Amino acid sequence: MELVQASLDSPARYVDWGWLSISVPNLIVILLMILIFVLAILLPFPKDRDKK
Amino acid sequence: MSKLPPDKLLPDRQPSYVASWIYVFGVLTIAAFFVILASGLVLAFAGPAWYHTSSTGHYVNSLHYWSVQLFFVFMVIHLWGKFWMAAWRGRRSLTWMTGVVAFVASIGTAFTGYLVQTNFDSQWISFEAKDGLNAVGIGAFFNVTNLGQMLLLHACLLPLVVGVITVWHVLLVRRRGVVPPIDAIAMDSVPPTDEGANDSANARDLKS
Repeated sequence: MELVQASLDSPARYVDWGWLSISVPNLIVILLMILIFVLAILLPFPKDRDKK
Repeated sequence: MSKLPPDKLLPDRQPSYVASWIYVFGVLTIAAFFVILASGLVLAFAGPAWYHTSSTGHYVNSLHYWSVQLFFVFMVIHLWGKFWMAAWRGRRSLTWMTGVVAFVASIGTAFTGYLVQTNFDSQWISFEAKDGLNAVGIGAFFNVTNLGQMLLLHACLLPLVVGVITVWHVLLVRRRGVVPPIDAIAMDSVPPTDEGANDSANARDLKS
């Protein structure tokens, strides 16, 4: 528990690509959202069981 | 009522293109909004002396916080989906604009929520924000370092604004119908009406 608290108290790590500087947590959330968006378009939607 | 009869308000059939996961994110956003409202009501009635000290209070506080994170994730994916299918087509500009205003109002609500956490995070955010707001000349009216003002805006005014605009947004979706994909030829189960859009014609216009 102390380890978790210590990690939450410290500032997030940042990644820098030229002009772009973004924290790792923000980057993970954005990448996850893009992944969910792509999956929402590609994955088939369950078919209606009542429909023949 | 004549513009929104019961079968249009609560339809039991939808066009086939709605059977896609990308059409789910609007209602997921509303579901998250309900969790936010319910947990927020509990927090408001029980007060900070409860939610800052008891384990159940911490849980409800966390539920409120994480449902906001999901609310924004769902809403932004909903926004991406609607942007790329040009959801303002077919007389749906007001539906699009109410969505935009709901998004902006939600950002304000979340922002004031961050300010009333009463921790170092909120102190840091408010002191960073006050310089920006002073620079644009609204710091005197919207004082982010005034905890009472921010708490009342967060708990009373802004959720009401988001709620009313969301209801308006959903009613407009029901009235105009769900926007078809750009290459959809026809709305196969909902015929176009005077009130709704002639989406097939619109789709053809965009393709040509």
